[in-house]
Amino acid sequence: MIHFVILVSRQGKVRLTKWFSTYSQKERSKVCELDLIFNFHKAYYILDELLLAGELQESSKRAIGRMIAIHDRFVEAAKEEASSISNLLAQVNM
Amino acid sequence: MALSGMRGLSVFISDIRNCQNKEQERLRVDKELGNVRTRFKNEKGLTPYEKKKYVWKMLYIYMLGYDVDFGHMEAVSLISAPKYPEKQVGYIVTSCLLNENHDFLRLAINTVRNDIIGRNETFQCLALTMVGNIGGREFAESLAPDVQKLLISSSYRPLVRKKAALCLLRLYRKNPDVVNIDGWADRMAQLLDERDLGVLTSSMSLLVALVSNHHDAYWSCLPKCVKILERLARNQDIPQEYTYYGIPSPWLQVKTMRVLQYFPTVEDPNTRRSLFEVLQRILMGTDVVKNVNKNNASHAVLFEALALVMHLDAEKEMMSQCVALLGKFIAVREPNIRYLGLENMTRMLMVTDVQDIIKRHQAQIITSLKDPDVSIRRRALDLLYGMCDVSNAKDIVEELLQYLSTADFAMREELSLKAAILAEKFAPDLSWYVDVILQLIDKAGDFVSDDIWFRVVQFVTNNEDLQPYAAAKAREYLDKPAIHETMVKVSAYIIGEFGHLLARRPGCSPKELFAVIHEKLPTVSTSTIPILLSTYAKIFMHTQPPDQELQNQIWAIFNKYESCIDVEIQQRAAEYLALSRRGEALVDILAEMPKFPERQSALIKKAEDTEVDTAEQSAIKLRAQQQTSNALVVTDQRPANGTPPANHQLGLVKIPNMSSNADHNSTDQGLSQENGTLNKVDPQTPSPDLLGDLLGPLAIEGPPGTAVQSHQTEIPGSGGDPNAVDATAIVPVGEEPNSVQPIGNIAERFHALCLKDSGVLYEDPNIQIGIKAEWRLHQGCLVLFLGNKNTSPLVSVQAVIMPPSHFKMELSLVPETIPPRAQVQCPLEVVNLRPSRDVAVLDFSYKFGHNMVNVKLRLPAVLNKFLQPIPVSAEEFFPQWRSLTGPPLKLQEVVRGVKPLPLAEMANLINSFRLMVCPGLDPNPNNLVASTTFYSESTRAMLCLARIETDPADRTQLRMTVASGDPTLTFELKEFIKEQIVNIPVAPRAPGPVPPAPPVAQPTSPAAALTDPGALLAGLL
Repeated sequence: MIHFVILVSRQGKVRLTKWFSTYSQKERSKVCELDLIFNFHKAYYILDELLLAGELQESSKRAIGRMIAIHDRFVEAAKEEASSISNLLAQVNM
Repeated sequence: MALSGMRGLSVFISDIRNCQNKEQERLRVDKELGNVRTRFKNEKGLTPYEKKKYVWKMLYIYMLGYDVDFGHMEAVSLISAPKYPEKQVGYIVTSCLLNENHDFLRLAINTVRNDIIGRNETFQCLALTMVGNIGGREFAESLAPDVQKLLISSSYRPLVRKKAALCLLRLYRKNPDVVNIDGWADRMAQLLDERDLGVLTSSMSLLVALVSNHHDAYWSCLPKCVKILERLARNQDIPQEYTYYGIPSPWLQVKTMRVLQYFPTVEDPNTRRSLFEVLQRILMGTDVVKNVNKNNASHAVLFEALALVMHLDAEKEMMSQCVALLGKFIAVREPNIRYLGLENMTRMLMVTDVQDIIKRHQAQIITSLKDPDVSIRRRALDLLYGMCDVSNAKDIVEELLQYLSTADFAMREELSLKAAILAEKFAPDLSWYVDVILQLIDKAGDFVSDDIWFRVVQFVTNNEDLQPYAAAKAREYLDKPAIHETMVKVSAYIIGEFGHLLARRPGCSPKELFAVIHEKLPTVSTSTIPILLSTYAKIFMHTQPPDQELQNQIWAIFNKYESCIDVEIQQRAAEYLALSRRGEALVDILAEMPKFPERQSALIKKAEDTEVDTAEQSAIKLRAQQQTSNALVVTDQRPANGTPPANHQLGLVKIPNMSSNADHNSTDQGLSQENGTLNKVDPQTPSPDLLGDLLGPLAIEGPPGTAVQSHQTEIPGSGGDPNAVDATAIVPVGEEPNSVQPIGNIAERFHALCLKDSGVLYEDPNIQIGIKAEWRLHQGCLVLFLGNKNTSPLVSVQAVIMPPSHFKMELSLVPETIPPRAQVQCPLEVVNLRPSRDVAVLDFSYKFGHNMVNVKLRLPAVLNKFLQPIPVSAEEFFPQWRSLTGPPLKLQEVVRGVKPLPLAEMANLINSFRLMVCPGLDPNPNNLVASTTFYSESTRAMLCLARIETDPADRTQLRMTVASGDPTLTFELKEFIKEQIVNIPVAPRAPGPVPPAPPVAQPTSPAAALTDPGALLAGLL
């Protein structure tokens, strides 16, 4: 299930560690703190699926997984669109 | 893995991570901020991708703890981007960077609203998430209706609706008005039928908040919550993904049980039974296992279930099951579980009847007092403190004393305070109490606050039997080589006061006593020396015949301290020296201290003040407030030896002022004041029974300063006319806009009290007014119990009685202040002069904080209270009934709109008015005949008869005939009965279907018709 801890490091930095370790094992080989730091925006997103208004929103790993999948699909789709020729042209023109 | 395609951001994060020190990091951040700033300035050249990247960078910098004071507009503007990735970034960054009061949010409200009401559910989710995270007042006002629609509409998918539920919760917390209770309660109940557990969990969080404010509007949710619990507990239809270590959604279980605790009780027997079955299942099914996560989840459920069991006042069997379970918990190895077990046992103590079962675990709890973990030791101490009573006080206090010598310093003060309180509360005999306190001082003198030893002095002073014992004990301790200074103080004081009682014992001659005390003088601090000086003066005074040698010694000491730099010591030395040269006067002035006035233990007060609320449960808190302390009260006997307390004029000289230099400023330490300045004691203390207590022998501190005289003002014309027919004789009450809302329905409470003699008249969060009444003939005594529910005093208390003209009423003094958690009794004498239905009104007001609360309450001194039911036989009844012919002595009326009741219940109702129903007198089984005696000063005892003819076909109407020897009485009694049996408000009935004279009411047998003039009369009509 959900394994995450919100930590405050000695420098006062807030970071999420160990989120979704089981989920991540399926999706990726391993999740470490570095992944979190480089994907902090994802951590925010996942947290928003988990908690809202200070209350637990969803306790099902699968339901959250589905939401993240949808999210990823949207981002991918947008990226493909962005890399399409018209966009490239638009950027060149600038 | 790199960030999905955003190289610039990854590079920046790597750069930051590679910084060697804080300074480098700052430089890198500043550089980046400058870069972002220039790019934003030239916004035209930004692609959405770049904008997104820079906004992420800003968020990262913000996360690192730097101020980001620009770029907010760019973040907010991304919200209106048409594409998902930009919009998502906009929403997330906005909710991180801006708070609810930020002006820019206003710019986004429209976009947010469009996203919420739009058809794109991913956009809906993003918008709801941000509103749920920021959710300010402005959002609440403009978005709540839309959010509500999303939540209740079944056309949206669960992923939207669960966010809508929590979003609404956030908005509700900001502004409770966004939820209109009337319409919403039903919707909420419908929501609980939801099958999707995600939506259900979120809705339950919302319900917790709603119910905690207005439980009475959400009764319809209660059975549904029980259903949900049943579904979870039986694991019916719970998808695998919602079970956590085999436990069906522990979060939902906990929340549901939390909701149930906000309802005062579960009335419906079926629901109650199902609920107890579920709870039973939880209690039975929970154990301690190896897996920590499983334990955490199952224990969270279990403890919530325990709280609910306590709240519901379950049967004793279930309670003992709970305690047994906790007993298992406190014996396991895992410290967290031991802690929880002890903590919850302490909570269990609030429930009556379980104390005995908890006592079975006493040995284990005492073991926990030696636990290596300090927090467990504290819990064990709390529990021992809570479970202590007369039966185990000796064991527990002795354990505590023993533990005191090894306890860590952090706990000693608390430990000694608690031991002292327990010893005081539950002392089987007073000498034991003195022993305990002296041991306490001996073992942990540094941690014994002054309050503790002041208290023991008070006890000894007020209990003559104790004095020789205490003096002997003190003498024993003085023999020890090194004793704590507090011990010196208390021993010196006691020896000074009561040392002479030991005169015949070995080693206790005045000289020897003086020597042993004087030995300590070089070791003590300046604050103790004044006490020693007083002791010397007292020893000197008690030395009869005077001993020249002792006198010289003592005078030498006084002489020496006469020039002491400490003013207190100097003054005492000088005064004692002068006094001791006066001979006889000394004996008077230095006579034994008078007894202390009765008051609450300052220790207990102190403990109450420092008590912290750990339990969130409202029910448990409430119960804790109702718990009474059984503290011993310093007895307030009048001194038997003829030293009246009036001696106090002698002021300082007489009193060994032991603490004038330090404690006089502290007003909250009542004890030090007592010891220091006795002249504050008012000899005219009102008799203590005036301030008696319904809840228990809780002493109330101090006499009330002033009291409000009851106003005997007769109010002319306030319904004084006994012939006022209309129902407006009922005084409208409780309609003033008060900020404090009453608990329960005032009118219902009044009506209940009309039929019984004790109960609650009024209650609000601050005060409870109870009533207990006794009626004898035409007189009565009502006692008002004014109970302060708070931990702070209620001030400016005023109670004014507005009696109707037929009552003579006298209210005893009502104190102006009601001390915290105290209850004050105010007897009210009532004399009934004439029959009348008018009621007396109590105009009651008090001040709490800055709020003035004023209520007008009808007092249940009503007509039927002056009735005395008497049985009559047929031989007595019929002559009487016949002799009272027609109006005005006999009145008849057809009453409609009656509460429909079966005949037997109607008879019970009539009986409850104190009219005795005499069965068998009336030949028609549908009729009731009742008799009673009415008492008033003008009528004396007056027989009243009544006949009620009911219609089995239509229970809402009946014919009533009332007769008595007094026309006013007949009328008033008839009206009174009518008021009581009629459903209020009377539904306006169409005259059509009701025949003018109900045919069934006609006597069926001609014989009965002959014997019944009322019936004859009815026939004539």
